[in-house]
Amino acid sequence: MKKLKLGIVLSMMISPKKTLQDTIDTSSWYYSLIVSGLAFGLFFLQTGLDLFKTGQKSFIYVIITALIGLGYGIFVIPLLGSLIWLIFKIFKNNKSITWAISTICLSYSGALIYGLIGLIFSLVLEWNTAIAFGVTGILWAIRPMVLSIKEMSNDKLAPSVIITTLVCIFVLVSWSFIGQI
Amino acid sequence: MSLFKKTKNEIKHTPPSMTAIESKKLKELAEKILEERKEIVNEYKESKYSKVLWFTRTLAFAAFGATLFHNPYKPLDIFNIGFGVVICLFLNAYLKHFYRFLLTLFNPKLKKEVTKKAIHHSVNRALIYIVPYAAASLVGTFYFNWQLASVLLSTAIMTIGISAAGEISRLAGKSNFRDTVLTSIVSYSTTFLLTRYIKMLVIGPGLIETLVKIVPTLLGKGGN
Repeated sequence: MKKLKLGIVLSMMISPKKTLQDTIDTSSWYYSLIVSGLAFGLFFLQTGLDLFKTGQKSFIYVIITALIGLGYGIFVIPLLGSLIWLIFKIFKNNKSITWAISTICLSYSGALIYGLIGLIFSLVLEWNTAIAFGVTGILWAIRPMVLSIKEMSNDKLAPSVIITTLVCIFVLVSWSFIGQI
Repeated sequence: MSLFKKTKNEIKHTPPSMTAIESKKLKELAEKILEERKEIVNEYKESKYSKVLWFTRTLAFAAFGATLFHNPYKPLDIFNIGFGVVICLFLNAYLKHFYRFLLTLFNPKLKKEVTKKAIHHSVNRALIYIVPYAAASLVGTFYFNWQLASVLLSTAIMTIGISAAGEISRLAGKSNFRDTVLTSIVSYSTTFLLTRYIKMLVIGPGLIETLVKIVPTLLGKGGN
């Protein structure tokens, strides 16, 4: 827990490479799930709030989407991390599975910060923030994700770029799919 | 106990095997660095690989361009797409040459060791990181109808800058803070100019469309 302070969230957002090399503590990998869980929870909450404000959905929908987001960040993202780790076993990935889960989950540190700011704007100024803050935050995760996938692939360029692209598209499309339910 | 004595004491009590392990680790690290460097130098020598990098990069920048001036009411407007593609291909050339120039200029020792072409190849590798952003931009623009291309492009430029410094570190076998600062300055200033003046560039496609329509008419009238 000592390593999972607000500092690591901020440094993962601003300087992910250095954080990946120096700060990631795999013993407390499960705490990184809080970061991705909250990031997606806030993102999905704002999606629900936007639809609630325009009268398209009820308040219960807002709560349900927030919970789905929380579940998405806690279960789907680490699962994605494990899958990536498994794929890169082919390239003699010497990182542990907990390292992979920690880094992929912490990649969403930027999304968490954007989510918090977006929620303030959504509640105080009644802005529609799901795309302006939520999606921007999710896209911010590309950079740390590229770096962590690159580390796992032993600096192999092609597989790291391909996997990052696929993960990025998967997250965007799955979010849209859940939003349409 | 003084700090000197303490350190001396620590050295005395350090097991000799520990030093052997450390030196072995260092040797392994040095071998790994040399191997990586050899790999990169070999990569650029393979013209096929360089062509793949060039093609992927150009395609990704062009794809980004197709989304840059996207108009939801005219999603496949040839002038919007064409103008965006030209702007992004120019950006590709500008970033490539600027990073190459800066990193070669500030790494004369590395240039001597691995040649200029290996440094250029490292920059090409960094530019490939445009691909995930271009894909996200394509999906976002044409599937979700979002207007996020310029935001994504800014983030992509920042990532490319950091990656260029990272690739040079990989080639040199040690990280260099100066390179990161240099590429970050280029990225920040490019992003700043882009976000500031992209709204001015929006008139570009319309202007070209008008010119394309008016000029033949004028020429036709002149001919009559």
